[in-house]
Amino acid sequence: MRFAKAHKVTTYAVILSAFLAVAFSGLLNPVVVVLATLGIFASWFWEAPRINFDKWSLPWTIFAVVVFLYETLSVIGGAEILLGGAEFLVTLMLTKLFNRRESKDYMHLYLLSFLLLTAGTVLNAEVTYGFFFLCYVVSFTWAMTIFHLRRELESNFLLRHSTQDAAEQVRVQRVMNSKRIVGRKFFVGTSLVSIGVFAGALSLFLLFPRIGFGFFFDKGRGGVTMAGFSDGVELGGHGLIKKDTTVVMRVEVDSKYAGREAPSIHWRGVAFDNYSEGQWKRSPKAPATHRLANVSNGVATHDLLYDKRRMSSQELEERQVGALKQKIYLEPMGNSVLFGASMPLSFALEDKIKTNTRSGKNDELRQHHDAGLIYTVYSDPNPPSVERLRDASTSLPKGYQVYLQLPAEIPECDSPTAVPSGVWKTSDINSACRVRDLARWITRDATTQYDKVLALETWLRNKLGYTLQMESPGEMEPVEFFLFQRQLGHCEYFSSAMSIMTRALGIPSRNVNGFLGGEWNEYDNFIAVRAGDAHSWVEVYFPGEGWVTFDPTPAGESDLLGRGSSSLMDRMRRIADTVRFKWFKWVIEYDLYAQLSLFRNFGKSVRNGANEYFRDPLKRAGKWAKQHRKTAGILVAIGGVCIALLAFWRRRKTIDQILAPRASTGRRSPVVKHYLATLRSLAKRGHRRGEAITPREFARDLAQTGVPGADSLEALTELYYRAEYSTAALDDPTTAGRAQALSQSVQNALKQAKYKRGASVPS
Amino acid sequence: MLWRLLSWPWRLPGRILRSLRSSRTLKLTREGKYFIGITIGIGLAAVNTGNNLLYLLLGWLLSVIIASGIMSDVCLRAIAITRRAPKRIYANRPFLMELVATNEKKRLASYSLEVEDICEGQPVDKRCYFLKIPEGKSQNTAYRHTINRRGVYAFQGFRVSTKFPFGLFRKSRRSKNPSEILVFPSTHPVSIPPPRSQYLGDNHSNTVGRRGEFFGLREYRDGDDRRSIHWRSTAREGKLLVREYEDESQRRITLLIDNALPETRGEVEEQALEDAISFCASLAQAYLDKGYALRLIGRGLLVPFSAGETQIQRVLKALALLETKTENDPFSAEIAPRSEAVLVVPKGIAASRRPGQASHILEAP
Repeated sequence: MRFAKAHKVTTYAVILSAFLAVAFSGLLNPVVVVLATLGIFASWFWEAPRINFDKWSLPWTIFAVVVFLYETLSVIGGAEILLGGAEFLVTLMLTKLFNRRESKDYMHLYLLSFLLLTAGTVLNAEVTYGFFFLCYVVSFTWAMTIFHLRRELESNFLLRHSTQDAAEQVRVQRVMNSKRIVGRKFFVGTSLVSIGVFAGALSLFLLFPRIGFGFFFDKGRGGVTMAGFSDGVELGGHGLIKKDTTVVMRVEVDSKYAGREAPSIHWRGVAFDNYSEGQWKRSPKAPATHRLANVSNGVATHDLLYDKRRMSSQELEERQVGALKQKIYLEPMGNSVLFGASMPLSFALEDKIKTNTRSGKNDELRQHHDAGLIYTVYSDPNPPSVERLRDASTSLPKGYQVYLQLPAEIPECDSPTAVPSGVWKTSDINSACRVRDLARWITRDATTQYDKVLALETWLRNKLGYTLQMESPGEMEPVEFFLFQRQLGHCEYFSSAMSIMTRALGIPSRNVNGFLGGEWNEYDNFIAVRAGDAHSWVEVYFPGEGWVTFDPTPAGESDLLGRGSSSLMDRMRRIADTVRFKWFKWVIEYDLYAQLSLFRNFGKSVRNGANEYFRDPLKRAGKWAKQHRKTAGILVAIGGVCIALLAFWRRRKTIDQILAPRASTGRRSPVVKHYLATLRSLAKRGHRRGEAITPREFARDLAQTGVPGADSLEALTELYYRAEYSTAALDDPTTAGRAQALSQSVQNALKQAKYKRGASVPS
Repeated sequence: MLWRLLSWPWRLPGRILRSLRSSRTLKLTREGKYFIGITIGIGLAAVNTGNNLLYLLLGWLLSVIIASGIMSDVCLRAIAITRRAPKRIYANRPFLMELVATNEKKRLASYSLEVEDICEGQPVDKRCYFLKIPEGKSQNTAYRHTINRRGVYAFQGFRVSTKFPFGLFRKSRRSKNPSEILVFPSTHPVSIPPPRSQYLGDNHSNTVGRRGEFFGLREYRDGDDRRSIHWRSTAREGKLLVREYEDESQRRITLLIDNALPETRGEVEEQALEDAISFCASLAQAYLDKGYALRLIGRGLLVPFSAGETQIQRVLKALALLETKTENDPFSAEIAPRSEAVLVVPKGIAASRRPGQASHILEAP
């Protein structure tokens, strides 16, 4: 590829990488993104000599100023300053692309691209940033290397033709069109360098201690905003999101619940106690969540006590035995609900500075977060035994009467009404009490509260149908509409109906919103719970036994997204989700705790590896050697000889260099040899000729300092000059003899001086 | 030889120490300073915000710095520079010093190398640039330099530097390549003084009509007798040609240079001597170009009679190395009677023991 073209291509790769890293955040104005993309491609053709840059300089300047003013006014008007700044950066970059003339313009482009990339660290936390960051690293290495060569070429390429002519700057066009400067080897080499740079970046990233102070910024990222987990929910909301595959949390769970065939888990989030006018809410009288919170080793643990006021640590430990452990990576959802498998027993979160876990009502736990959360939950997925539930008492704890609340539209109707068997849809049923009557009819054969609840659940599952197609109930109460008119609905209707019916029978219950199931991701062994897995079910209270989960929605109907299939599309999607998960786990959410954990695991692996591959074999070898000393000795000797031979072979070149006669550039005069020998003798005695000192100056200096033999050295130096710079008398024996004599004279004088010095040292 | 073979293990640690002792120097360029500043800024932002993507960016910036150091080191490795000086270098006259850079690496090319020659301990103010030296190949370039004074100049080696790959740092290393050059005194065209006719045989020979055997034809020079022009050959060749006779080919001149200066001397006197030496060299060049056989005598200097290109070389070398003497130092030879001799003396310098038989005594202009 021609040098100039290679520079252009790599520059555009840098620009595009940085731009797309920001554009894929989804936060930039779409018009800006589209125009900028078109502009980048159009600028490829906008260059001399096709374009006269001077003519367009003013319009582009005006354009940039106008955009700047617009962005400034937007920010003043309330727009986010970072977004406005990013859009202005894009404008500047475009302006520069359309005005590429000199090296400094390219340097400005690289700087602008870097600033955009930096802005992207705040605007785009998705895995797309990682992808474009990698592209940027590779293309930056190419572009900057070529740019450096180009700039050096333009400033350094001077050719001096002769001593008389003035220096002239060679036109660099010939070199710019050359294909020999950068070729395949160059790009392969720089690609390897950029991979090394990327690897280095990752290593440093993992090693930097995470000590963020967060004085000005608190990182946050967008997520999915879901209804149903706020302070109230209106019947019908879940239907809107049942096909949304956005992952809202990922759960690493015990092997019993791992795999596509494992039982589905109800991921409990919020619970509502008050129902009226088709809406579930949390009433002010709802019992507050009882919990025990303690901090240990940087981890804050919140134990839910449910209907108990206190529990001893022994009781807490006992109930943890056999509990289901889940590590949950929660995406930002626009709410602060903490989810866990029903029934959650305790939540463990990192006790950071901003920890503000608060207990809600109805046994909820909340923790505000903008950028996702990682925490561990211990849950008891197994309800109490049927026998115990049947034997449960009926006395409610204080405050639990709220769980018997019925809406005004569905009165309690104490007076019993006879319901013909098998008939429940006719107008013979007292319309004001038909919900209760239906409940009584369904549970007519049940003797215990548990059996009644079970009967209701079974009846709802088997007798009513599931649909996501909503129909307005008009003036009718939605639950009544569902039970008596349409007899079709989704999970919210089923759970609401069951909850109302149990309350109509005097059994406390509440409506719970959360998620059901999720997709098993075999690439990283976690359950990906999606927005479409949102679900409603019922919790029924059995005094003395606690809350028990009941799910009246027909099984298999509500799980529209399924547990995942092995089709190519599904697998690709799971791979993409795994990549995204890894990205968030190891990059976005990487913190001090993860770092320490990584170092610990790494240290453990190294130790285990060292033990496995070094220490244990060494021990075994040592033992064997003790038992077979003779053989071991012979082997060691052979090994030593081999090592010595190898070392000798590797050093062979050095020895050859030592033994080989010194390469001579030409025939050397004996006078020069004698002179150099004299210099070596002087050097041994500490009189070394400096690199910048001429031979004559050296001789003069020695004479001035009274070094013995300096007179002879001066004469020898003159001979050396004549020999070195004269083409005649190289082999003149007289001159060579005189040089030898002078050299000997110097060395003798030095020896005598040394002897005298030694003799004069007092004993 | 055996000792050298046996002693190399003991010399090995010294070798290792020498190689470890870094002979590289590193300087920040202007872009490098900005880069460092940006890196520090990103680092502070990362620590402040705890934003992991900023940490990633910081890691990348630091990796770029490390990669830059490694790549520049690789570039500088195994680069051998040799120097080729022109045959003759004159003072005050620009000359081209050729540099040959050889990349001794087997697999990697070197890019963007700048080579500075180091003369008398200081880099010459010219840099030679090599855009790319492929592996195993050599490239030549040259730089123009002017040395203002005659004499011996020691070149210690080279400083090879590169800003490759990103232009953030300039890494340099010194390469030892000692050599010396001899700078001749500057010469300029001069007119030789007219010969004293009683000493030359062309017009005033005792042997009337006989000037020696016909030697050959040569080009006309200023001062030649016009009667010696061979018109037929001139017409044929299109340039003036004269007959050369055996006696004329043996014209001799003794050039004397008084290189004595008073013991208390200043820059003016030193310069006067330099000018005289330069003038003497110019005269020598002029005489030898005219085919004279020339002898050079000075105080402590004697270059015997000879002619031709070799003699000019000897004379220039001798004048380049000529040292200052005092007036007590005699001239190294006497002037033969009846021989042509020109004495060059420094302007404004009086000295004793100058030969009085010189046919011309010239002061350097």
